Amino acid sequence: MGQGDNNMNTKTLTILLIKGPYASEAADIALKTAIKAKCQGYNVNIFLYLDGTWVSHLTDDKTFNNSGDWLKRAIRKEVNVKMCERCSHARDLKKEDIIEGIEISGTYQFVDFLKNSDKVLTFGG
Amino acid sequence: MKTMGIIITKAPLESNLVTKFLDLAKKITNNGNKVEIFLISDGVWLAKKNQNNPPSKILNDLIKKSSKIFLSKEHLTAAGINDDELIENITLSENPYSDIVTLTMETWDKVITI
Repeated sequence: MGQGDNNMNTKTLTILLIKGPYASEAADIALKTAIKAKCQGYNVNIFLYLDGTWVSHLTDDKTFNNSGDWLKRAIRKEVNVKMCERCSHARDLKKEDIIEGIEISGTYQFVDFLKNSDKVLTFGG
Repeated sequence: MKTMGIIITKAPLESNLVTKFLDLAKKITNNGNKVEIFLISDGVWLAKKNQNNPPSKILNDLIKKSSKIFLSKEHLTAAGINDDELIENITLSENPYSDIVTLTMETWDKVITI
């Protein structure tokens, strides 16, 4: 059923992640889905919201499954990743402490994602 | 006729929302539309046979009404559930993330996740 990699699609998928890593599989599912969507040629946005912002803080290597690695892979594949400014501030997550390539932005940016997306998936609800 | 996709990541009794989403699925099919469900992560437990809980019963009703149920094979293996322990008419997905993308972007008119 799944399409092959590198097909060009003009559709956009936005993924909202609202749960932190290691609390459930939500972060891994969200990030693996984003990477697959990008490989299938879709435009992909990820918005990290509430405890979902914690994934940005997983900067170091680990000897076990690492959601931070999946996020880095997504960014390398040019998935557009933004995270909620208020949620980040509430958790003392600063630009210098998080994975490179993530934009800390207001929730109005998420509204822009919604406006410009064909489909939205929420993980962690 | 429109098709609603529902991605379920939670076990049958992990959240009341599982039952609520499946109730919604039943109402959608009663209105002449189609529902397809993708079970992933702990959601795969819904498809284990001989369960006595409300969401699993609704899932069986939906299958009788021709709803298609997809299930992540890798999560089934992780849960230690064998294929022969599943209720009937389940479609196993060998590439769950790829299939979720294709269903979401190309098949389903709307999609909700729990």
